[in-house]
Amino acid sequence: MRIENIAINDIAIDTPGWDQFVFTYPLKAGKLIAAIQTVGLQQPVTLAVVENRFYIVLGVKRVLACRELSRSEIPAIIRRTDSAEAVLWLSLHEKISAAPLNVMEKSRVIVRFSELWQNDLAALREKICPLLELPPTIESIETYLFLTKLPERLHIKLAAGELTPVHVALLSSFRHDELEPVAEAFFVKCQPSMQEAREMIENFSSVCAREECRPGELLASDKLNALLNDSAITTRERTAKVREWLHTQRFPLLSKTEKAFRALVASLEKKSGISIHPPRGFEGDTCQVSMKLSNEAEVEKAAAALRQSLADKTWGKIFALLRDGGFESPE
Amino acid sequence: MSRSKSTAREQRKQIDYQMKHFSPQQIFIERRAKDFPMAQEVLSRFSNVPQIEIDNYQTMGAEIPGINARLRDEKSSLILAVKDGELVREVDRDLFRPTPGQFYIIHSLGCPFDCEYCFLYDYLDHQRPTIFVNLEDIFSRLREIIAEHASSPIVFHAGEFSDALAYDHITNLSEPLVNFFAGQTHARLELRTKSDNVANLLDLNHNGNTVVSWTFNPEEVVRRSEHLTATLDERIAAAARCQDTGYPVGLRFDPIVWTPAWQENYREMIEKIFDALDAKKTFDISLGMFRATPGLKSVIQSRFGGRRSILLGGELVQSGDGKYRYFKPIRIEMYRALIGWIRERAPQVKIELCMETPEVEEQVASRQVASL
Repeated sequence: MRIENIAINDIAIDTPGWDQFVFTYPLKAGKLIAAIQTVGLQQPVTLAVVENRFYIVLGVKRVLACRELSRSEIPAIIRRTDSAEAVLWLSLHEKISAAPLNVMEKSRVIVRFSELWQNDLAALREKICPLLELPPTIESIETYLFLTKLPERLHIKLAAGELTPVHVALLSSFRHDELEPVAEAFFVKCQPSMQEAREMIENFSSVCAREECRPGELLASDKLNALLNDSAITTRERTAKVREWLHTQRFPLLSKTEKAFRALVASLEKKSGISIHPPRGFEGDTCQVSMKLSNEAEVEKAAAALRQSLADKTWGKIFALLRDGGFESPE
Repeated sequence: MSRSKSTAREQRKQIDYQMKHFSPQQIFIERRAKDFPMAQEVLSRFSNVPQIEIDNYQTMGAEIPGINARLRDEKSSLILAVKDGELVREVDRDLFRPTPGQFYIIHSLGCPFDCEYCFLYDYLDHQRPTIFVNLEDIFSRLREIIAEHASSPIVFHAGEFSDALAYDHITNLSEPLVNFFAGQTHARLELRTKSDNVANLLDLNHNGNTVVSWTFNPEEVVRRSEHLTATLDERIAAAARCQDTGYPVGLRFDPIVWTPAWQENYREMIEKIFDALDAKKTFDISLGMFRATPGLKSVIQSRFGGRRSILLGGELVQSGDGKYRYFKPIRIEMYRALIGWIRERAPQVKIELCMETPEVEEQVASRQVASL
């Protein structure tokens, strides 16, 4: 295959669509600059020709490094007659064989082939998902298509494995202009686990629904804004506080009941060494009691505390709370 | 009136009709369904609509990215198919109560309406409205079941897996169904709908054996979460027309949806309904609170989570059966309030709660007894 020296100025870089055959992310030359400086460029790049302009297919970091080093030319193999699809396949196979793709690189693959095949999900599922080791499902394709809509800051976290696609897919129903502030609040300022993230986003959406406000308005509300920007606490502490605040806002009545329940059982638990758990969501009218006892004296102590709690009507109050949440509606 | 104004009005009426009365943009037909009379009739009504032959209705989900785009595509089409296997299904049970003698007729699957809370979003493989054209098989099965249950009254529901009347202007299915049940001695039909598509019903001799029931919700809920359905006023008007022609009319307040203005909205709705309908002739009323399986909740979340669906505004907690319901005191309060308002206008009508836990039923019932 013939190698030609191509002027770097003739290669599309930073113009719209310049990276249309490139899956690499992030698009930075990084350590390659020093390597080329030391040992020189070891292999040519591959370029495609689209409307008389050269587009990078393989070796994007080499091109960027050479540009950084102010080189005027770069050795290249030119694919003049290949179709766009053939070039994409070449780029994909080379990429896959070189190293495992990060999340954003997989996302770029899905986006490029989706554009090429005009959203043919069946083809994406059959031909692309197996190569990327993704589940061949619509949901998985939608998630990876969605990732490119996210702010750049999240792309970096995703590529570095600090966030999973499943995390950020929770944002998929937000409007485009809402993505950045919501993502910033819940995935940059906070660091929730998957379960925490799901709960926080869901509660956040629900509060917006009830208050009929836009996400930006809720994020700007005094309390939430203060929590999100409290620099005196750690990210984990912030996550816990924001999560708790959202829970209270989302479930005002349930939170009140939870608080009332905890207040009722606190002293009994302390005295007896037993734990009392309400049913999930206070559905049902039974609570679960667990004991950790290691000798007769502890059994006697627990039994005495239970007897006392019967006498002082604590259990009556607990069961009344379970029956109707303790909030009798007006007649 | 100028000709152009008249034409514009006609066009608007046509668009309105198409919005309210399902008109598919594309029809898929199973090869084996082509020769059935109902298929022929439907195809002839839509001769200008693209018609595509398929092998199997079950594998027809749209392959388009984006759940909302996919649903739009699916719901704008229609499938005509032959149903094998179960054509009539016995109702397993309400949540905790046995419901003997209740059956669902599976005349179609999926629905052209788009109610955000619909359980079918978590139940069906795809949402293309599918009409089964092998009617004779359905009627044979109905005859068999009625014969098997000769000693007790039984009820057949036609609005479980689809709206019972949403396609009636296309299929005219109500006619053979109502006629069939008119001749029964111990079997009743319930047609449950959110449409105002009752034109075919009005001239039929139903013999009192067909209950036409409407799901009612305040206009705010209709507008924001029961897309493409008839408005509250249209449903009330349709119910009044049916009541005027002697049909027993059932009122289904299910799902009841919590919103900050629920008290005002539901009270106003109940007043409106009983201003138009004769309470004494109301067959029965059932109340059910909004509930969602985890799967359905996740569909609602992914479709509308960031778009402020009113369904997500209430305090939803997970019940013992895994479904999400409003926090118990909220349900109790809402049931008590609605029953109170209904009782003011319809003191005698039978009221039932559906898909509710025994504790809530007990709490609601205790207040009813106490208030007598």
